Amino acid sequence: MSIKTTALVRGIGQLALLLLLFVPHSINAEMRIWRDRDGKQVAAEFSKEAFGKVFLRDVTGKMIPIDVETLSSSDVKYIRTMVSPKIEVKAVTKTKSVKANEYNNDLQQMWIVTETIQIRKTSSPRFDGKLSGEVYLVGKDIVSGRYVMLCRERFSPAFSEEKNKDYEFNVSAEVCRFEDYNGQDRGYEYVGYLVIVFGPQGDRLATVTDLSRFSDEALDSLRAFSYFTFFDQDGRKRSTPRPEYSNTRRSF
Amino acid sequence: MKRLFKKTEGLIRGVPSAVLLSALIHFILLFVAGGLIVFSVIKKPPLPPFVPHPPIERPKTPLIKPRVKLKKNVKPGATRRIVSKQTLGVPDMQLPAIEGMGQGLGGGVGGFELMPDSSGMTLFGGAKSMASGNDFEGTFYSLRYSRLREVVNDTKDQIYPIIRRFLDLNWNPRVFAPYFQSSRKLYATQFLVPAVITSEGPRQFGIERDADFDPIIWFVHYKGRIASKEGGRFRFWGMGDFLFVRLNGKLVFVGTGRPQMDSCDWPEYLNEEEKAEYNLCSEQARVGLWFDLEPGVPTEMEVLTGEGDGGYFTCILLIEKEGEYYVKNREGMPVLPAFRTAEIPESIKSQIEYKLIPGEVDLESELMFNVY
Repeated sequence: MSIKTTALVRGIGQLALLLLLFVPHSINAEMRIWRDRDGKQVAAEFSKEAFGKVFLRDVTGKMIPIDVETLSSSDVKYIRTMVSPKIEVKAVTKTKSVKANEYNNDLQQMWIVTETIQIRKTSSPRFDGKLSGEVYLVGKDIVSGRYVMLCRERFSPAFSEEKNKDYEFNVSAEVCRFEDYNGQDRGYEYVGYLVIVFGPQGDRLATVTDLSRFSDEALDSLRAFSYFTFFDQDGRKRSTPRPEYSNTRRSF
Repeated sequence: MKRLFKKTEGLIRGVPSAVLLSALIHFILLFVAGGLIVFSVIKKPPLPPFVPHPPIERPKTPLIKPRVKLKKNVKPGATRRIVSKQTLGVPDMQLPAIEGMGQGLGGGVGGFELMPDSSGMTLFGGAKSMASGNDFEGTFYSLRYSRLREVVNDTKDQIYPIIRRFLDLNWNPRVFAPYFQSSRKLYATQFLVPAVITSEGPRQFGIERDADFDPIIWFVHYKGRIASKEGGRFRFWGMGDFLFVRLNGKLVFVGTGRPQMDSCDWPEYLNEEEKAEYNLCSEQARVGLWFDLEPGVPTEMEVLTGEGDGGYFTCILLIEKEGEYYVKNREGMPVLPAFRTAEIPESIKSQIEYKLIPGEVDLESELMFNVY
């Protein structure tokens, strides 16, 4: 392949990539056939719902307002279960020291970190579908400086008609400091959280984190790590830090 | 119409002569074709007259009885079969139990369902079978408490006779019947717990840290089966506050520390030449007796491990195969494979490594003792 052809192909590729980046996409707004109770049909995508009306955008980009009451029951069900609500996500961190008992005194200091995840639905239309989410709590080894996955949980909030606004739940992880049997101070401390909430069609509704030192790509990478996996700031998996060798060891 | 009919009448009248002509032509063609066929007649030679075969001389051999050694306790061989068992592969839709160091103490509020991570395994085993029949079922006992949670033993010195009785009475769990027993069972596929605080033991078996429960003088009795694909001669290495292993009813390993051994007056059977020479975690490693495993034959195995008077709990069980070469660590101890009946999950491996000095245990070896 000549240099000119290669450059042309690369140019087309770059242009295509650029176009892809600028095309607004939303998994939530899928083109589908909508029907009213009289059987009339229109191919359009959902845009928004306000004042008892559903606004649909047809293939030409024209906005079509339809009363929710006039839509077919299957379309109303679709709106109530498959169209993601707008949400706000907050996380509140609390740390509690674990009281050592008389049999474990002076061996290990331990804390329980609890993240309370609060989710508020800010859009007013009713939502009967299911959201899903993931929570990750991240720690850091005090000797090596490597990050460690302390907790990973999935959650599935089920909204009900009676209570359709605020939801919260807790996830916890333990952090500790201890003197190893070779006399070395070791342990890991809490660094932060990552919460991701997905809509009913798998679209990402919210990402909340205080792990600002991590890039978006690194945050995405750490989602693949299992409990107690060590990794670096770039989201690359690292080996587990080990105690240093010592021929004189503390006997427990 | 009349005219057309007349013409047709003439045509019909001519049919018999045409048929006759066609038949004649076909007959001539058949005759010519028949003349072209060549018949080759193969004349078979006459069969020779029947002569019977002379009799064969067969030397008489003495009747040999098959050499089959019958054992009194013959057990069926291992067969591959699908075992219907609930595994962690299928996530529960229930709220997860609050358990496990850092596994997330999920407390659902307001209609949330927290789904447990697949890393539900702990250092003491998983709450459900992960290895479809290759795991050891562990039962937790606290010899400090009675069944009614009343304190009945204060120090580990008081429990030596109980442990001794358990070992002497064929590892009968009824010896522990008067004491507290956890309802939660754990399923382990390896015995590698490097230095965790003693409250972790009861906690993994469902007794919360906040509960009024002293984490001392507790034991876990694991029962399962092992098999070696190739068979061979093996022995255990390891250490623990209390650690005993028996195979097919025979005690083959005592990893219990020297003070406990001495105060308990255990029968001395350890390999004197190799015992207590190398460090393993915080104690000196111990070596068990050699035992043989026939290829693929399942063998009953039990492990009793436990904690004395608080602090850290450790339990390490390694395996050595006779005739194998093992790399030696800086203290001269062979770096032996961890005894296991299944692959160690990554999260568990990482927790073990975090507390284990490099070069003490081989966690990557392919040697595995799974039955299925």
